[in-house]
Amino acid sequence: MRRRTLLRLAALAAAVAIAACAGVLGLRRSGTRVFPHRAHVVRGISCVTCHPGISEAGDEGPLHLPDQAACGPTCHPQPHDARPCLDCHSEPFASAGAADARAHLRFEHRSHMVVAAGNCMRCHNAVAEGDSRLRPQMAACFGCHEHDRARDVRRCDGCHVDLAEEGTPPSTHLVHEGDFVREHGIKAASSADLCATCHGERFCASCHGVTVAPVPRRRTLGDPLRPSVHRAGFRARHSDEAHADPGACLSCHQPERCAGCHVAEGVAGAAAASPHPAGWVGLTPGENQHGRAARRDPAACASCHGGAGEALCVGCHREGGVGGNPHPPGWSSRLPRDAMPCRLCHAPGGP
Amino acid sequence: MIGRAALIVLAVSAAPAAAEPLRLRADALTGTPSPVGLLVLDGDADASEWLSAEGLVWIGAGAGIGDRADPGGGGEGDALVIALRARGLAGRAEARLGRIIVVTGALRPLHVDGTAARVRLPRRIDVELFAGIPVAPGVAARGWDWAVGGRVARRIGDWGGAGVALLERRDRGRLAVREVGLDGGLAIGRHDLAAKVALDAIDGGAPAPALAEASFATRRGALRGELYGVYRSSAHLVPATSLFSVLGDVASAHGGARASWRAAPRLDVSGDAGARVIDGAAAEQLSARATLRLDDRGRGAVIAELRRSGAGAGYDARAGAGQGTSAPGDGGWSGARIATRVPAAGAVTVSGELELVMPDQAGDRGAVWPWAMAAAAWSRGLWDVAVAIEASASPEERGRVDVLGRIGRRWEAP
Repeated sequence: MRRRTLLRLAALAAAVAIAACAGVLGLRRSGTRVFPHRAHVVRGISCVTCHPGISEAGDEGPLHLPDQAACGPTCHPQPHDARPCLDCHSEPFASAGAADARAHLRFEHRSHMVVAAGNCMRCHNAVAEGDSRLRPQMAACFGCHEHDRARDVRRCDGCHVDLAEEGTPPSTHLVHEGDFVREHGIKAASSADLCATCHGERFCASCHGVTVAPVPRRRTLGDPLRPSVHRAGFRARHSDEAHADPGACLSCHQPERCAGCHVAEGVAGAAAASPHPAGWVGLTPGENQHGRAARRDPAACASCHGGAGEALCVGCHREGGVGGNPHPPGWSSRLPRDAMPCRLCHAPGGP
Repeated sequence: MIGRAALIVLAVSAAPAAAEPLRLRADALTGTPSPVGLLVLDGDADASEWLSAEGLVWIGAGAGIGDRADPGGGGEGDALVIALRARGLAGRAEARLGRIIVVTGALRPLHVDGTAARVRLPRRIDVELFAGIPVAPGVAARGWDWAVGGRVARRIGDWGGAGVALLERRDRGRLAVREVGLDGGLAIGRHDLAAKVALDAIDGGAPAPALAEASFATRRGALRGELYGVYRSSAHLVPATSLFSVLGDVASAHGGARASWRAAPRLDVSGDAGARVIDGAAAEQLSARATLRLDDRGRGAVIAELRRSGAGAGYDARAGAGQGTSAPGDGGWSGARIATRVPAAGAVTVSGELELVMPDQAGDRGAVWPWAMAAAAWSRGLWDVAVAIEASASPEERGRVDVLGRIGRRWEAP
């Protein structure tokens, strides 16, 4: 009984919270509102009544959005407010969206009006469903325009002036949803050319480049919402993240990348003090942690002891050395003895 | 010198009455505690319908600028990208030349000074080829001498494709890496399926998997779900010429499920539950995230995120930092992060970010590693300016406060 009461109270609290936050959550509109296109259409008002000149509009020039003169004299002669109608009776980004389309799409109403025979809804077909979905989606274009060839060769510039500059994420295809930082690699594997239709060389290089500037994240300071593998306090936790996920760094970086930083920071190299605990290297298995750690994550060892630093290992693990055989049981290799890295420890021609 | 070369490349390619403008961008960053500077030049141009170029170079100066800076306060600079791209045969052939990133099927991305080409053959078959010498950062030694490879792929309708790729890297004339990549992807209706496998094939025997990933995602209305798995063998990812490639094959496997839901027009929530298995020990990988957009366009937003990463038995986090004992332990950590961006008056945006990381085993590394940044950015026309204050405490530094500034400008030449 008491539990049921608590549940009811919790449900009530949740309902009140949602109602109180409805505006913030986007459940309730306040301030500006969507322009009632549908109501105008139902009343039989032609599109060109409010958008005069749209039938002759080319790829440049004004946007043909209605102003006071279009709304006022015959239909709304006594506006309730002195401000321009579209300041309130239009979504805040509707005009900006139209301006974006004008700037980034090769499109003219003039030629389309001929084909559509004056029927705007042939393209703006979502007007019947609601007022906020006026701009035709790309699929509507393909109802008439052949697109296969352009898609085949990944050329979007037949319609898009410059996708990279446009910077508008697609809403109906190639949507970068989910944990895209993790997912992008697997998707780019089979369609890297598709990625390249929007993203230039620099976009990939800003993370995967060996010579990336040392503080790329700080270049985007002021935008903490930008996804990044190396965001926030990555520098403090990168050692733990790398150890917890062996090989993760090598998925993108070469081992030299780690070693280069570690030497520069004094973590590795001749001048660095050993970061390893007591019992890291010893003659008995109990005091010899490094072997297990190396087998678990050889990339971590290479991040400091790679390249010339391998001589440290060879000192003990060369054939006949005190360190013994570092290979796991059953190890075999088809490499010749004089190949790298075999020759570091094995004498040529030996067993 | 590098920057001058990039500008010359861009200028030359843009010279003949370009249809599209030459775009340049410069960002200058500076900060404390010591004099720090970073100048980034970024540009691209379409010289004609078949030729374009892009470049990005940076020059840094001062101690503390970053990970590879000269501790003595010297300067460094490098070119990230200087590339020419040419297209022909009505878009069916494409070639890139210069300092480029090569992303070829399941092979790991390569940063090379070289060339890459793609030809689209009949029957939806694509052939890619690339060759180059490795790009080496300023202080690092070059790990391998050159790389060559390619990929053959077949597109399947409008909804998928599959390919096989091969990469060979040489180190002083000797084979250091031979990797075979298999990749495939399908997008059927509301379902996405993708997989890739990179096989280490250097030893002449049966190729061993070095890296494998698979993902299946499906969506229904406002809900999206994904199942994923990653298999990685660290020993097969280091070059075969490295001594660390002969220690055996202790792979890690990571699998999990993720769900995201648009709970309200402006509210997205997501959760990820997975586990990682290494050397027979399992560790949890959990995260939850909520994103609330403060306006319909998402110019302002708040993100709250929780993460839990366990490292499982067998790893002593303190050992890596020099404070460990010989006892094996758990190197897991938990973290919380909140970030916000709010458009303020005029063209000003203010933002803030706070992250708290709590390691399972603190030792004397500190029980909590906080990181915070507060920033204000102003953007108008071709200019944008941002200032930020960053404060953190980490195992390396008990406390640190930096002030950062960036000024950027764009140029467009018709």
